[in-house]
Amino acid sequence: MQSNFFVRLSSPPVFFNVTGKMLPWLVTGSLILGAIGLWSALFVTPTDAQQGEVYRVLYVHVPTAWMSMLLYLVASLYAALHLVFRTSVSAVMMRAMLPTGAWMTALALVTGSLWGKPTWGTYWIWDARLTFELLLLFIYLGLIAVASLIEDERKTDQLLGVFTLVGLVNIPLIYFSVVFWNTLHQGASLSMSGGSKMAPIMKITLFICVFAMWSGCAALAIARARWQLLERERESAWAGSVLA
Amino acid sequence: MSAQATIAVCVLLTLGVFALETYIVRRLRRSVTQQTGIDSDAE
Repeated sequence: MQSNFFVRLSSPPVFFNVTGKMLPWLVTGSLILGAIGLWSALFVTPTDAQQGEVYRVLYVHVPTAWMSMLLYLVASLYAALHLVFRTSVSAVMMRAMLPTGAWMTALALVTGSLWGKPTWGTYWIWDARLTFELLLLFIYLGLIAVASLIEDERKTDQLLGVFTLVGLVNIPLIYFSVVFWNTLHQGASLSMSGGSKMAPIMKITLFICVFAMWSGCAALAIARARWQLLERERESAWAGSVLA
Repeated sequence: MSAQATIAVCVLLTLGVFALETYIVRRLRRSVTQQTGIDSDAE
């Protein structure tokens, strides 16, 4: 039954209607969680013993860095789905992740750099994690250029799908760079396997900020995908009647 | 730059990016609905 739902979701009119119902929830969730997360990050969480006040930048930096990788993973999933099934929905979802992912990557780099100056003493260093994150930004920009430079969208989809999957190799390199190499960037503060090095209130606030960022990014990507889908399908009957 | 200024810049940048992305998506929506003849306010 669940797989049947996903098969039905690949139909453009079903996708348009289902995501139309999801959007208000995602936007509301993002605004509420964002307000709570910001309030807690600025006024509730204690000052860090080592870094002082500037550590609060991490409540913005960590969620944007995670979203930069997550959005690429989701784009790759849709790229793989598109190469197999060639549906319009998979193509627009793959394309819609790219601009938001690029923005999140740029934000992660800028906020990390602003945090790095008082903490590390420099805005930038060619550290493995920073370099692979910068490479991710270039990959995003390259894919956006490929997506927008070629006129025939349907012909480009396949090329974009292959390129997106090739770029996927960069994601584990970013994630495991602090394990593979001796980097200036610290290791993971949160671990799925072991305990956390963070105080509970800091961890809760970080997760609230992550979920706020996730719902905001999901809302933007889904909204973009819906209108791109409608543009693509404008000759079809459902597109003309969907909002009638 | 003081810690407070750094934090403020990071928060404002993030909010600015979300505002800009929202504007871009709304502009896409307006352009598509005008092409297709659908009233964008109907949703």
